[in-house]
Amino acid sequence: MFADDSPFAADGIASTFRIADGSCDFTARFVETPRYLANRQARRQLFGYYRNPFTDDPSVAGVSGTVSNTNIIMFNGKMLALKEDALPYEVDPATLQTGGSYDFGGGYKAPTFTAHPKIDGRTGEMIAFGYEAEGLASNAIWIYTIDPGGMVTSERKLAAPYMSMVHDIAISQNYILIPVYGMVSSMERLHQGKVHWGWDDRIPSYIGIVPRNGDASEVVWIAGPEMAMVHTFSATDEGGVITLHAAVSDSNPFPFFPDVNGKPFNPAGARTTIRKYTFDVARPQAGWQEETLFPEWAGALSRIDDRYLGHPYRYGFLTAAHPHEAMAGQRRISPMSSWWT
Amino acid sequence: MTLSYAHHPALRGPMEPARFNSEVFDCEVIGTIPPGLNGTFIRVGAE
Repeated sequence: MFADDSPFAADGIASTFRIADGSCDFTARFVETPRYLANRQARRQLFGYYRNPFTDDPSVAGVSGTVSNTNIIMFNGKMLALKEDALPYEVDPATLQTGGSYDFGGGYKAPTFTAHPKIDGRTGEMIAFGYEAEGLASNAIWIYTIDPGGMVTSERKLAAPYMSMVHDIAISQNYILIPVYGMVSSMERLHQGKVHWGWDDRIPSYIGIVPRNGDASEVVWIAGPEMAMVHTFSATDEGGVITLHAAVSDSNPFPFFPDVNGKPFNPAGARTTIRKYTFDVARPQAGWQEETLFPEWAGALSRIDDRYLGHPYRYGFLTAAHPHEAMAGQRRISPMSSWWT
Repeated sequence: MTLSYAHHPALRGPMEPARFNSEVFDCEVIGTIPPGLNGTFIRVGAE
């Protein structure tokens, strides 16, 4: 890996702590992606910059460079390791042996699958999506609903206002919310041999709102100022007004994805805080209302208890640090969050 | 694979990759696992 590359380019390793009868057994095994297997056979790194196949060794032209390192879920009895630039990889829950990529029996047609699909806490329905769904640097987002038995029940194809990193979404009872912000790429950039993502502070951010049971043509894109909403907590809606909670920074949160215009990285702009947004679906031109709930806390990797996804919730969770609790905070921060905040 | 992480700023200290598959039967436990607890914590990370 290049010293200036993204740590997100490292191979995924799945692990389990199996706890029963007062004992715990541990297993860890690399997800055997085509990239992992090719590198292992060659005894060297054949893949170049993060998600830029034009920087790969010619011997692996056409071989997927995905690393399956972001999230792992259980769904319909299958354990799926997830990375947003490829399909899920099925991993055996008992042995952690890699089974191969998984497309829900052929029903999931996009070539990419988010690391953060949402499973409705009451119905068990999965809302998943892939971005760059029509090829590298495409602005296509394809959204799928999948029933608890693993059958794809709907497919919707959206065109985002521009191509960007859509790492996470949120679902409320009636809507799907899709953040689009200035973490961008382009074929030109990739052909120049750069890391996949760069930050563009000149473009507006958007939240796309799609009815959970509506058509892709019903999407509404609400525009706002520069921000990065990498992870959400969740959302609720009542009477056409949506409330969304997320961990958000004012600007680029990732120093290893540099500004596209060469501006130096701004740590203050990367500071990520817990924010509440409200949207009136009937008045998209009114934009959104934003409130920072705990301004003294900086944190990332937000989530809620999965049992409340798609429904009203009271609590959220994230890794966070507080300036006046430096020592205690240091012990509470995960190493992952220290890159991000 | 011959792949140096030595100079990567984000892969040092607690984030230094372990780089091996492993199985630990009957982990050492500090304290006591509640007797009713029966399940699996699954995770994935970047190595």
